[in-house]
Amino acid sequence: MTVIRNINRRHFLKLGLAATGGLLVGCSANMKPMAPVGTPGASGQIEAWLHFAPDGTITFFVPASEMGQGSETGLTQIVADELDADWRKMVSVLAPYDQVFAKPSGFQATGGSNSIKSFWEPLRELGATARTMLTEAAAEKWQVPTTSLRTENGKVIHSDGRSLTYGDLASAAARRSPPSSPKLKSSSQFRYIGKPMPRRDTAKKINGSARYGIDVRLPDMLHAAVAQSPVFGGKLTQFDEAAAMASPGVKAVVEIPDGIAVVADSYWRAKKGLDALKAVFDGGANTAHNSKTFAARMQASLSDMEKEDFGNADQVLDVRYQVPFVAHQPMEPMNCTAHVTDTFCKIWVPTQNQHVCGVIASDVTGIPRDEIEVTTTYLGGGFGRRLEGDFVRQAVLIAKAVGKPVKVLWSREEDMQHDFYRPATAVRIQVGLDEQGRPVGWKSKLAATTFMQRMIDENIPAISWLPVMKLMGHSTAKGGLQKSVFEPNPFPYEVGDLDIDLEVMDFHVPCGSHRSVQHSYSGFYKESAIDECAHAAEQDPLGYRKKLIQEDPRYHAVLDLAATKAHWGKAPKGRFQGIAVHRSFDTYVAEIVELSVDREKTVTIHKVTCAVDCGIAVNPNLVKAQITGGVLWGLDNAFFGEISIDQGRVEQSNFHDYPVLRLAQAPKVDVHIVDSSESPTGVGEPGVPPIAAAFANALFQATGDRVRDLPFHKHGYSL
Amino acid sequence: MIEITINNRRHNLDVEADTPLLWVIRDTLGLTGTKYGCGVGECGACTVHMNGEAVRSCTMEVSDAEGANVTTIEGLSEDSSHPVQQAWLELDVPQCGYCQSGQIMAAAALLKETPNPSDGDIEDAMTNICRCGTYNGIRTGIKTAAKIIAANKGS
Repeated sequence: MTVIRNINRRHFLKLGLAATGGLLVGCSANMKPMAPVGTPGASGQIEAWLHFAPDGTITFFVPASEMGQGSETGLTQIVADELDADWRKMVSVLAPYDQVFAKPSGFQATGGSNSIKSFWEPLRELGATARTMLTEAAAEKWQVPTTSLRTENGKVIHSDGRSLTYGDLASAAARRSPPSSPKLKSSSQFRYIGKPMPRRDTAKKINGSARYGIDVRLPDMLHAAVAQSPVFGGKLTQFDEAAAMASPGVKAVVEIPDGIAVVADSYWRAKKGLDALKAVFDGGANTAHNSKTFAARMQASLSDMEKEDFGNADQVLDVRYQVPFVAHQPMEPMNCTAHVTDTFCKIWVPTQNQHVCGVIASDVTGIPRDEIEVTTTYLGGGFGRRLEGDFVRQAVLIAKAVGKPVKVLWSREEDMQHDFYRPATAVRIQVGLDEQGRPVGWKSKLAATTFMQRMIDENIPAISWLPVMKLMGHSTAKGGLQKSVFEPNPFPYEVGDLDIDLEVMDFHVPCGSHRSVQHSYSGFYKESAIDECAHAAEQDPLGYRKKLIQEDPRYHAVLDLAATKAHWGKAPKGRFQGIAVHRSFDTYVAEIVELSVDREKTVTIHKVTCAVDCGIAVNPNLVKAQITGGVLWGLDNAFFGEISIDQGRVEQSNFHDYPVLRLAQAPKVDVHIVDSSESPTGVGEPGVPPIAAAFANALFQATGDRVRDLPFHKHGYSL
Repeated sequence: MIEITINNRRHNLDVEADTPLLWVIRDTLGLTGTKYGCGVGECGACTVHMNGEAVRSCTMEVSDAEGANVTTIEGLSEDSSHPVQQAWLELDVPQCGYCQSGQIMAAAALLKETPNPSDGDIEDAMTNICRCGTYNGIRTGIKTAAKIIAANKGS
């Protein structure tokens, strides 16, 4: 039986130790196992990651947000494996906000596809530390050498057959010192790692009992509905407070940055009050901006690029691609519940970024960061949107103003029009090919908005784990972004002279991390352009790619596996294939789309075949689910996704005018995993980058139409 | 006062007649398994059964549910034993899970009407939005549930 509870640190220490005793194994902030924390109050600085109760239950504080990616299950598998724990005795609890649960990057946040990657070694060491201490406790009890003991399924077993459960040994183990270098298992000893263990959250997600942020209910809690300036950066100029206050159930009207909130005793009454408020905003100078002027500025920038002839190149490809702003739109709209008094600030929130919650709450209330209590609920999708703290700031401000717990919930319309969008970008790529069709030079220039500087300005370390941020550590935002255009691959193809340039465009539209971040467009650009080169060279797109990738055999492995499984080059009559490969977040993914197109430009995708190399697949089912989800996300974005701007504001408002992929349009996705003994890497995002290009490349094969400007549906195609 | 029956329990509620059924279910009655996703009937996260049929509760005024028998995800079965829930558990269909109450209610209504649905039936009936990309699992899950239903009938 798995129990997920969200409880704060002090609560846990008090309850966990005083009530049940047993062994607590914690980690210091730099994630070296520190144990035992065997007596109550032994150290206020040490937080428990694992708690072994005398009844055999092992509670594991999961140090990553669960937004569907399965970290609750995957991370539990890693630690349970090194522990030799009984899977049924594992209890996973989402960790509270506390620096000890921070990643090696120093921040407690979930993103960058790196939860498994970041915690792989620390959790194995943690599990092995506890296993060693339990084994030593048994050895002491029985007065036998540890070499005569083994562990299995939550027990220490002597060679003569007698055994003690971890629960029996927990108290004795708590009095021992942790080993300096616990011995980790070899991969042949893995019991849970590499196995398709069932998700730990499914049972709650099929009967309505899983608790998301929107489901938080507290005594005396009020509900807030908000209106923000439709034009980004606009100001509130007028509102009818008396009308709102006269609306049933309305308790307060509170101004917030760039907007206003109505607080009532139910959400619907708050929303009705907001309607009565009739807030008026002045968009200011930003009303002059629209998508057409943005596109024109990007194209003008690309036109400034010099025309290349690459010396004696036989052919020169000179092509431009572009992608629009795209919204996240997780199914659970933005929300946050806060309770603020003079002495405490408590937050309940579906967040990917506990760190930012602490920074913002402390900023608003003046309460020190380490006293801010953040309870992370399940997330109804994240995709990067929930790395931001804008809705957290609103909740804390409003709760502070009214003195009672307040749940702020955005309407879908607010969510659609106040997202942090995938940047609109455009690229011009010039490639020179020799007589054999080999590239002799690749010069490209990207015109792109940036959100790196905003995040730095706002003290949001959300993307600090991206290689681009490391680059930025000794570079400017521009320099970092410049390298990030095709980073962090590095650029896999041998193309002669490689010259990648960038002009940062200063648009007023807020942008942010969007599942796979810059890879969502760099994958499309790189893999479309290399396909164009293959066709210009009159060569097979698969063979051409392999010929140009000499350095890294992992690219070849995924290309070959995908090609074999998809029967590359042997599509049935009337069907056409396209391929793309991209490495992101240290994971390699090749994807092959097989489609047909009718005269009305209706596209049928018969299947998408993926091959992924993510090192050891800790849970193959979770890997397949994430890659599949990434493919469908990327397809959705590339086919339909377009946020357009008119008079400074987003034109779309809900799913009726911002179409998203539905079941009838979703193709079958087959995922094949490369067998590997390398350390695991991320899978949440790497499924996204290849799909737009794989689709475009297949569409070209089918129709001769090379779509370089997303989304596909605006070119008359439908799914 | 408005009288409605939810999960076989009768409630007399003092709410404005134009309050959407969704918010009565969630805020007034505290049954939070039914989700808000769009408020305009586009996404299906709020799907419940009304007299056995799938309806989107975000666009239905509570007064229109007066006298009807409404079932939410909490009332679909007492112990997650509905064939759709069993299939979802067996296949680990959910990811973030937020849309799944609505997906399950839509699937259960489909199977009640069409016990052995074709792919076309599934595509026509299942218009609920999932942003995680669980559509393949939902399709397989409905077929698995259909088999469970058939097996139950046979036994």
